[in-house]
Amino acid sequence: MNARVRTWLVALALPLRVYLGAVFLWAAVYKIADPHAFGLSIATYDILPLSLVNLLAICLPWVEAVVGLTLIAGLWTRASALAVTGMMIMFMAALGQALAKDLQLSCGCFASAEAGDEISAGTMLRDALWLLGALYVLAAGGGRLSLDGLLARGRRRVAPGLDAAGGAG
Amino acid sequence: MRRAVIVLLQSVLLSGGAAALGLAVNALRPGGLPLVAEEPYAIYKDCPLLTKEAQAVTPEALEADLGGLVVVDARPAKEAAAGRPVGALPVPFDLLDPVDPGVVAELRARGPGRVLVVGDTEIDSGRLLAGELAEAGLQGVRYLKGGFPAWRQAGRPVEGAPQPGPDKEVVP
Repeated sequence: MNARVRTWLVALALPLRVYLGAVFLWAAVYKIADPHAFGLSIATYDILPLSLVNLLAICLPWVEAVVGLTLIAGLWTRASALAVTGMMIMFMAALGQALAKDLQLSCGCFASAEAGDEISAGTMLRDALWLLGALYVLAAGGGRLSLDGLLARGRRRVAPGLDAAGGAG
Repeated sequence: MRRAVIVLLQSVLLSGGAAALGLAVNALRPGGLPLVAEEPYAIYKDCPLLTKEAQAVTPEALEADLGGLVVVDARPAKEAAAGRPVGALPVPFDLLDPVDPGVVAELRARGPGRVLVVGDTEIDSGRLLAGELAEAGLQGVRYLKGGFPAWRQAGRPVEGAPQPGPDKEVVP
């Protein structure tokens, strides 16, 4: 690929990953603040057995928060984007299943039980767009303006020619 | 290829580490969730829909002689205690609590067209309970339009007039 085009495509990943990171961080904050409400949201989807609901309610928000932070910072960018991709696929599967069953529920994505937060085809479309964004970042990597890029440059200075996989990409 | 594996490993490490962090925080924070829910979550369920409508009857159209009819009082027990149609059978209406099948069977045994439901005007419990009874298979259920206030206004017999409470007694 033309080096210039490539540079531009990678540069475009920066605002995208900051946005996605902020979305995930924002989504995680309320879930961490009120794990019981999030547990209730998960239970309402009626997919997981009761024994797993709390475990997911405890762990998932922290995965969202950590991955949100690493995406914004551009640390392990591709790995973070991969985690986001996995989560988006998971969320969309849960949503699709709930929509198919015609469950009337708040999506539990952000501050739960807020009016107008009911799941719909629109929620699905929004998630699909975020999934595309995550895939883009996964493909593009961190670029120069990221901790990954910074670390890679540092490594190159120390040992030229040894660019680790987690690097700028 | 090696790169893809490393990215995958990093991703697993990132998620696993974050999950472990979540578990640690949950264990330390007050009000943390138990790892396994002790009781089911009270998840939202749709209200049962009443699809059947019973027949309404106005106080004027109601026959003068109600002999042979069962008058069913759909109002809450507290309201019924302060006055109810004479001989009324108390069946307080509750949207989320279906009528006891025993009561339905008892009413059905009276034959078709023998049930008159008297409710209140606020939530229209008479219409709702009559609909529920019709749904449960009762034939010719009717409800009084205007509920108990209409019953009283039409001069129909009432029992259980309110007793003055002790705090209302005037001590000379």
